[in-house]
Amino acid sequence: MEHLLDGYQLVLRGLTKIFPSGVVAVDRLDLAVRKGEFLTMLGPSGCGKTTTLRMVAGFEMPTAGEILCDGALLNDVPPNRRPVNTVFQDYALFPHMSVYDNVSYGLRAKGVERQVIDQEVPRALEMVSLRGMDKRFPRQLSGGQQQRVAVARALVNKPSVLLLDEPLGALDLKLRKHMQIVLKGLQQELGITFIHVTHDQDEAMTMSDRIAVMHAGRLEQLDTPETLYSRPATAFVAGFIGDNNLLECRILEIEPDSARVEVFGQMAYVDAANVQQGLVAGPAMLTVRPQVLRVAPKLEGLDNILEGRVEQHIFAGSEVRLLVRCPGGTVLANLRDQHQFQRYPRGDRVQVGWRTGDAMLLARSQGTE
Amino acid sequence: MMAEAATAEKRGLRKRPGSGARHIGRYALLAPSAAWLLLFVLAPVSILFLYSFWTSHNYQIVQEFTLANYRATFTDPVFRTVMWRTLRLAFLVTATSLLLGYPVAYFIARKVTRWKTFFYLLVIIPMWSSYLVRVYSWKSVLGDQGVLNLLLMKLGILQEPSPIFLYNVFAVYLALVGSILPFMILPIYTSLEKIPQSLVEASSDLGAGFWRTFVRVIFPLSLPGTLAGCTFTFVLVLGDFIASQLLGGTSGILIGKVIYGYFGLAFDWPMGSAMSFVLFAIVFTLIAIAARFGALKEG
Repeated sequence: MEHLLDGYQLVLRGLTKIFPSGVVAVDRLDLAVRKGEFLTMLGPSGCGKTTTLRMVAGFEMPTAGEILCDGALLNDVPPNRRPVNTVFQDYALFPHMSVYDNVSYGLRAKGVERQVIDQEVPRALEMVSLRGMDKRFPRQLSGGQQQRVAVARALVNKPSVLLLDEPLGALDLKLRKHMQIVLKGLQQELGITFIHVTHDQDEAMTMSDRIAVMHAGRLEQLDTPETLYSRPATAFVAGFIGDNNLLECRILEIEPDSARVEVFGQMAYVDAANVQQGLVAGPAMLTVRPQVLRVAPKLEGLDNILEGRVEQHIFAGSEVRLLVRCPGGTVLANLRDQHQFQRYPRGDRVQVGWRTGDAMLLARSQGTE
Repeated sequence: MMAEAATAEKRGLRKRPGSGARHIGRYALLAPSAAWLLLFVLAPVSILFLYSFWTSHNYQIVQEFTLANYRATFTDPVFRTVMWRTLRLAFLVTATSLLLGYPVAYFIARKVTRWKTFFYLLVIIPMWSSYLVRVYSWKSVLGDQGVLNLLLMKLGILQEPSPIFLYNVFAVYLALVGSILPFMILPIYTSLEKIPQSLVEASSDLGAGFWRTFVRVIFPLSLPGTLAGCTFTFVLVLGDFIASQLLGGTSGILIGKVIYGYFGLAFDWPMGSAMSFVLFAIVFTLIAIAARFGALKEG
C-alpha cells in the first residue's frame, strides 16, 4: 500500500469531521495531493472544504481518518509542529508588529539565527514585490499588500504544503485576477505544494493543476479543470462547473452505442460514451451545455429537439442568453449569432436542439437543482 | 501659503448658509450633559479650588488669598507619609488585582465557550451590592467573632479570637482587592475578547507554542485593557476613604481618610481642598501617562 503513496505530498484517508452539534462537515474524504501540485478544493459554502483545510493545518481534530504528510501521520501533531503553513482568509497579520516582524515570526519561533533571518525576510518580501515595506505596519498597507505579506509570512518558512483559505476573497475583481497570476507564478517558481480553498470556480479553473470538487462533506470529483468541464462525473459537478442545463429525464433503454431517453415528453439520444457508468433504465439527469444548443423555428437534421417558447433574452456582449420555456422545464441557450436571436422575440415558438454527442447522462444526485 | 489657504477655506466654510445653525443644533444635544457636568462637577470643584487658597481660623473661613495650605501640604510629614503609604498600597492592590484578574479575564474570554454569560455575571454580581456593604462585610470575616477567627479556633491554631486581623493596612488591602477586582477584570476581558482567533491560530501555524503566542501576540494586544484596568484600580485606591475608615485602624490610614478628616472633623475646608488638589494632580498625571500608552484608546 505504502508504495502507492510515492510522489504524493499529502494524503487524506477516510477523513471525517463531525462537530459536537452533530453536523457532519467532512464525510470520509479520500484525497491524495501530488508533490508540487496546485490543488484547489472547490465547493459551495458549507461543503467542508475549509474544515478539511483546518484539519490539515491542525486547528480542528479529525473525528476519524488519517492525515499523512511526506508519509508521516500528522493527526496528533500540534499545529506549531506541522510542516504546513496557512494563508488565512482575513490574512491574520499581527496588527502590533511591523511587516518585518510579521514575516520573521515563524523563523524566530523556530529559533533560526538572526543572520539567516535578516537574509530570508527581505528575500521573501522581494518574492511578493514588497521590498522596502518591512518597517510598515499592517494598517498602513492596502488589502492587496496585506495579502502579499500574509503569503510571504507563510512561504518564508519553506513549508511542505502551503494552505490558502480563500485568500483572494476580500480583494476586488481586478486585484483578484492579478493575485491569481502572482500566486500561480510563485507556486511554479518555488515548486511548493499549494492547497487552495475557494468557492469561486473561475479562480479554481485559472489557477489549479487539479480541482477537488466538494459537496456536502464529500469529494464529488478530483480532476484537471479541463476534465471537470468536459467530463463531469456527477450531476453536481456538471451543474457547478460552468453554465449547464440539467434536465430531468428518464432512461428508456441503454444500447451498445447509445441510450434512448425521454426528456420533457420528447425522445432524445445520448452517445454510450457519454453515459455515466452503472446507469440503468429509470430516472436520470441529461446535461447539455448552453453553447452547444441550437435554436430555430424549425430545426433540421438533429435527433434531439425540444419545443418551447422564448421566455427571456439577456444580452451579455459576446453572446445572447436565451431562456426557452419547454413543457417540463426551462432551457438556457447561449447564442453567438445575434441575428438569429433578433428573429425570435419573447413568446415566439421555437425548437431547441443538440447533436447526440453533445449531451451527457448522469445519475440524479442531491442538491443539483 | 498653505496656512493662508487653510484659513481661507475655514472662512469659506463658516460663510456657508445653514452650517452655523447645524452646529448649534449639534451642540444643543450636548446641553443637558454639559449643564449637568457644569453644575455638579465643574462648579463644586471650582469652589473647592477657591477654598484651597483661603484659610480657616477658629472654624471660620478667611477669604484671603494664600498659598499656605499648599506649602503646608508639601511640608507636612503626615501628608507625605500617608501619601506614600497610599501610593504603595495602590501599587500593591493594582499588582495583586492584575495577577488575580488577568487569568480570570483570560479564562472567561478565551477558554469558556458555552457558559460565558454565567462567568461574566459572576464577576459583575458583587458590584450590584453597595461598596459600603462589601467593605463592612470584611468585619464579619476578620473580626473577633469573624469567620477567620472561628475557623482558626476550630482548627486548634488559636485558643481565643485574635484581634490582629482587623484594623490595619492589611485588612484595607484585602477589602480593596476584593471590591476593586471587577474593575480590573472587565477591561482586560473586553480587550482579550476582541483578539481574533485567527491571530492565535496564525501564531501557532507559524510554529509558536502557547507561551510564545501569549507573550508575543495575546498579551501585547490586551495591553490597552490591561492598562485601563490598572488605571481604574490605582485611582480607586487613591480615592478610597471608606475601607480605610472602617477597617484601617491607625496603620491603615489612607490619604482619602486624611482629607475626609480635614473636611468633616477639623472643619478646615481650605486645607482639605489643597490636599485634594495635590491628590488630583497626582491622579491626573497618572491617567495622562496611561493614556499615552493607549489605555483609554478604543479598539
